[in-house]
Amino acid sequence: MSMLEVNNLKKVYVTHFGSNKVKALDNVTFNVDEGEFVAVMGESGSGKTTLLNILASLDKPTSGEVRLEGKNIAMLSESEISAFRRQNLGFVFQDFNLLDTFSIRDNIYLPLVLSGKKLDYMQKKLEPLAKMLGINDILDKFPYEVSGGQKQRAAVARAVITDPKLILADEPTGALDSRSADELLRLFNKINNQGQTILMVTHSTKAACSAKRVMFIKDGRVFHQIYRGENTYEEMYQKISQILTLLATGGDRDE
Amino acid sequence: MNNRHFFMRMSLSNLKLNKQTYIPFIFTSVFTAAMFYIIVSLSGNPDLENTLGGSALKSLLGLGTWVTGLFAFIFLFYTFSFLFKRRKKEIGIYNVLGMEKKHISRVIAGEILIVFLISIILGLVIGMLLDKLMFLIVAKIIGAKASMGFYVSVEGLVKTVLLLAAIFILIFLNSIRQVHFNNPIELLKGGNIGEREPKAKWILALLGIICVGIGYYISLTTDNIVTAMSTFLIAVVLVIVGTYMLFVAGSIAILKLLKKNKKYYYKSSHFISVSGMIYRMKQNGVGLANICIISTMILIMLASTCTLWVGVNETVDRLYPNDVQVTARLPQAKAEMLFDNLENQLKINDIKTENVLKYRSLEVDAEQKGNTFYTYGDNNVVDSNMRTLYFLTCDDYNRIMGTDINLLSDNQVMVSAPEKDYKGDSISINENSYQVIKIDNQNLKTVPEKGSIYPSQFVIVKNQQVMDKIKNNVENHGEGLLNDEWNYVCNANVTKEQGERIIDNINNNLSEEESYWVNCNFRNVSEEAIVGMYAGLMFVGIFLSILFLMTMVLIIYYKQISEGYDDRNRYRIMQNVGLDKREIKRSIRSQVMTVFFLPLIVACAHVAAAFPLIGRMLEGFGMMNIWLYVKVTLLALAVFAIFYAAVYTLTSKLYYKIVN
Repeated sequence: MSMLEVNNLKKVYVTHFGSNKVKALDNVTFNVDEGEFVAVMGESGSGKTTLLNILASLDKPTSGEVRLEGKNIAMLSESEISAFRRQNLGFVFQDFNLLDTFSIRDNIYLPLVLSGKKLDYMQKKLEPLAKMLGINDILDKFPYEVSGGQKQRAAVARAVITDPKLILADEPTGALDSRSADELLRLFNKINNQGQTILMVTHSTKAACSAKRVMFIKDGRVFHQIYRGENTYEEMYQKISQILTLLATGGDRDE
Repeated sequence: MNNRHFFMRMSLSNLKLNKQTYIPFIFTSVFTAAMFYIIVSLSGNPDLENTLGGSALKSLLGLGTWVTGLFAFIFLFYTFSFLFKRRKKEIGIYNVLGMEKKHISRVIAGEILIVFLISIILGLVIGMLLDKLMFLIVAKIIGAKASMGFYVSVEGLVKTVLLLAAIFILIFLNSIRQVHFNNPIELLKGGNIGEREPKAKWILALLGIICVGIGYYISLTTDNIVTAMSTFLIAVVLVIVGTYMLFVAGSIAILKLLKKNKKYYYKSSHFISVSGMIYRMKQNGVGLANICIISTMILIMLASTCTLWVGVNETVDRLYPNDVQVTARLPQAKAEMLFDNLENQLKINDIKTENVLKYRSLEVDAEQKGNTFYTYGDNNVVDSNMRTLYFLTCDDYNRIMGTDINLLSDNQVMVSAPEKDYKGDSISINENSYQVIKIDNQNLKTVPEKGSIYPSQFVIVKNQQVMDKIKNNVENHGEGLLNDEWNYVCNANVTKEQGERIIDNINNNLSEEESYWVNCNFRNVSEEAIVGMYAGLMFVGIFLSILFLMTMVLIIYYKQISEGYDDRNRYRIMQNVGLDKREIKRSIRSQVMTVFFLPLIVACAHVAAAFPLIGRMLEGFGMMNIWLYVKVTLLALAVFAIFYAAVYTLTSKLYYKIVN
């Protein structure tokens, strides 16, 4: 059984007066296995963000189901959702979403504190993580005192510290310079190699290249998928670029 | 051609776009204009001047004008600069889109002009209508007949327009300054620049504690009304300064301590609120201190003025235990003539007299040191050991009380001290010592106290020779107050009109110098003056309370809105990280509760600490019933707390709405 199963997911937005219906997602179906690193690509308006919001349980689908380890997210009640999110999902955002009122350390502790964990436990969890992410020196600084790359690494630490089943990343390299972006992608690969499942929405071909699988979405449907497999980085880059060109020029190919 | 129209249209549409913040501001300035007009108009109302006690009220209102004006100025300025900060981004966009700062200034000028015109027109109309209403209410309270004519105060109109114009010009200049000294990028960023975590300022916090402590100490150790009057201002200033320091520095220092305690800090219920509060206090320490001080002022003002009003009958009873009370500092023959004349007048007016008493008394101010009273020396008026001594002869005492006590020797006296119990076995007046024979303190009630500012004591001596000896002794030392008086008291049903006529007649029979030494009091005449004055005080108290209350509500309103916008992003992030709505709500509530009830709690502490001081000041107005003051204060507190809670509930709904 796959870790994440997405079946016939539909999301229809109804405009204010109910006259216009916009299909954001139209029958999306895919699976993500444990330990996979999936990148989702697509143009603006293709439905990527809607998909991510539904996976993150921030939004509810119009129909279809999302199963994380067999449990249907859409069926969770309002009160269960937050605990579910806290225990099972980790988030990395484009704009970091660190709280200015907390030090980097406290930002990373936040989800653990919310789950009522003891201080010793949190310290033990953070120690190896901080070393791996290279943020040991900035733990007691505040978000406005550190660089974007450092902020994003802190955000990754916050996402990982709860041992989530799935990490959802929304354009994680979008606000970073190329060096920081490369560094972050290397980190993603590293934690992925340690067994962490990651689903990342991105615009960046470079970012998508580091994933094991790339999924393309167009007009609310899964348009195409490619696997890294034995491909070299350059081959992968080529393939992705081709498909993106196809997407942009209006190809109509389904799997 | 249509440049001007274009800018005006833009100003108008800006007003509409920002109506959520502009409407409360307009409401504030309309209300401020109306209030200011009313208070100026009332203080200049000729009808009011003609009522009894009106002149005292008038000068009080004159003072109120200044307070209101100053308050209006600070408040409108503060509110608008807050409003304007929120719009920095919008102005930055105009700038980026190619509008010159000159053009932006024109748009802003247009907006401010429109708000000014609305405020002044609505404010004056509402002011004039309310003015009439208020005047009828005051007149009703004082018991004067108010003429119903419609009175428009030109002075009020002019002053209100001038005040508001001055405020708005300064508001405009300040906004222009902000536009000009910022570059577009800074304007675009607006309030979004990451804020530094505030540092704990221990010294400032400590200073705050010391200031408030000294203020409290002054109040708690004041046992004398003269001292109360002179130290009141010092205590008030110290407590206000201290309150600001405590709220700004002390609160952050405490939160930092909590944060250092890791076991406490890393609990989900404390984690968010402690860190959030540190930032909140940095921004809002001053605002909260404002709320605290305003609350304190309202409570003390309402409680003290209402106590005076509620206790007015008691006060009149205490100051005028007899219907007729005449004292004369004249030679015996002259005094007897005066009293004969008085009795004659009473008879002419067909007034029956009862319990007529004539006696001689000696009034001396002295400083008490142990059992000795010194009428000389460094008699500092603010010394809390000052006493007023009234000497009576034993014969007069027996006549007044209907007793038959004999003092055996010249060296024996009886002491009655209704306010500060005298416990010594002997008493010395300067160098002369007397043996004290105990009597019941309650006995001397029928002898009128003269409303001395110091606690008073009666000393009953054997005879006139002893009294003269004391008088000579005091005179020889040559300092301090010494009044040798003839007193006439009786009970009689004298109406106010009769009383006034008799006072006139008596004064007509005296030379100008003599009439200066004669003090005629008819209870019914004096009562009306006192009632008038206290009613006026209460009116001013209520009036200023309403003004302060309005200010407070608006401060709270703006605070909730600004915090809502500031916190919106924080709560969104926390929701993403897995904080559910219920937890968010709980965390918000605990923060908001602390932030809003802290000022109320501190205000209660201030009110409690001010108790002795205000109590002494009320004594200065002749109000001795401290329990009445306690009761009225508690009642005022209850009403205020309910009101405060209501404001809090309503505004926090708004906050939730913004945050979600």
